[in-house]
Amino acid sequence: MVKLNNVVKQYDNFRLECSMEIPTGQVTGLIGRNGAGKSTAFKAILGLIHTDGGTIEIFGKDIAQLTQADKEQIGAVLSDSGFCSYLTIRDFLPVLDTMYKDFSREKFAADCERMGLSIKKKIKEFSTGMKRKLQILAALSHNARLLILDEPTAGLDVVARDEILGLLREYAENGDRSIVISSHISSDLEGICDDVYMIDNGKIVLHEDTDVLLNEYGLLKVTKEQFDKLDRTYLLKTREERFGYSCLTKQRQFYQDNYPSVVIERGSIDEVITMMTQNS
Amino acid sequence: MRRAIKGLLIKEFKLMKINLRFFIIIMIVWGALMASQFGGTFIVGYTAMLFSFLTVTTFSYDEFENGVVYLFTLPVLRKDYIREKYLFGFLISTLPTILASMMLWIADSVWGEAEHPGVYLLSVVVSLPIAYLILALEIPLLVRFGSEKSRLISVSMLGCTSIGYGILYELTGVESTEAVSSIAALGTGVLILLAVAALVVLVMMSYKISCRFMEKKEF
Repeated sequence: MVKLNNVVKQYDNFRLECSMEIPTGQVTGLIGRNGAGKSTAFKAILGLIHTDGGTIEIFGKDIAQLTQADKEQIGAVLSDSGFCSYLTIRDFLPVLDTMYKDFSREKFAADCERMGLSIKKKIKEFSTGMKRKLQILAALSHNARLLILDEPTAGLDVVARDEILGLLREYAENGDRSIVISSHISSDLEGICDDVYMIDNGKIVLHEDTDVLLNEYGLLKVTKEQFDKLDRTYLLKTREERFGYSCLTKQRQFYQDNYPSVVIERGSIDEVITMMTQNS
Repeated sequence: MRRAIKGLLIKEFKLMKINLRFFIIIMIVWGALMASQFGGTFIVGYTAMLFSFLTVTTFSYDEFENGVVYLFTLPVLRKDYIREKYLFGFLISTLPTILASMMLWIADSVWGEAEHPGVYLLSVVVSLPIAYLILALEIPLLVRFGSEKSRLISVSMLGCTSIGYGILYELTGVESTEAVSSIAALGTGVLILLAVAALVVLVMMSYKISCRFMEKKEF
């Protein structure tokens, strides 16, 4: 569905160098710290910035060749922009209705009201969370094959977040659709993504299936003595701690079987990101 | 018409509705004031100028909270955005100008002494090209520099043109009236043709430049 091949974007103090593939029918997460390059990658996919190298394909086409009909198949939420807030949702209904063939005014208006978004109020009167909900509903409203969601759950309370994640899960159940999503709340991604890309300082540092990450990765907490005796073949990253070392491994079972006295925690996106994005 | 352009036009008209009341009050008060000084047909030219500037405000709205970035996540191509701005600019200056001219004719007929209908038509024909010219100059600046900076540039350009004209007059001693009368010697038909051709070329150039600026733009 989406293919980024050696994409390069050079800014004065930042360089994005990234290859990614989002297959059809899959939910892919993009995680990384603030300023790691997530939004730059999203903007590159959406053609909002010009790249300095590499190629980006959506639906098998170079993004420069995308037509209006192709763009209708994309729904996007960006963290730093949205509907013109001087207007109301009711004002936007005919705009979206005109732009998308597969848009239902009645359903969209009903969905908005159900989510507590008044269609008569000016959008500038909405809270950040409400604005985000509106963007997500708009992205879901026209039966897009590809959703590009940059921090869609930012600013949402727990209930709204669950509701939105539920909507996204439901949306992804149709096998022809793909979602690429970034979030700084790792539990959001753990619950919805089939695979995750980890980005740090503009580069992809890890790509893994979420199941593998949660079931096979682990964090070893070892003393200095235990560390000296440890087989380090399967250690991905090591961090010095007060008690000794924290070590990230992709072979949790191996260490559980061979080092029963070592404390081993199950993998989580938070742990992996913390370990992978710091200097060892 | 492409659906994206139509959708964007709907958005502009919805936005315009917000300020319409304020805009109409300003127009009536200021227009009436100026019309009493310069005659009724002034209001026609005044309408054309005022409404052509509405295009500038649509750029400001788009820039607010990065709204323009969101527009490009919709099925809007960069060229669609530019085409829509020109189309909106032409529509929004043309329709009210024609309407103002018709209203003036009706008002003159009812309350005063109406001129020959050709006079009202002429006021439209003279006013609109000036409004189009403003659009042709403004839109590329708005695309390239945004609404804040381009406003400054427009004012600076106006100032530079006046100063340039003053210097030219000092150096050559040619007054505008002499220049105009020498051009007028070409004959009305030729002049109109030349003016229309120049305007069309200018608008097309302006459109091409705007498209190029937009293609290079990053969000």
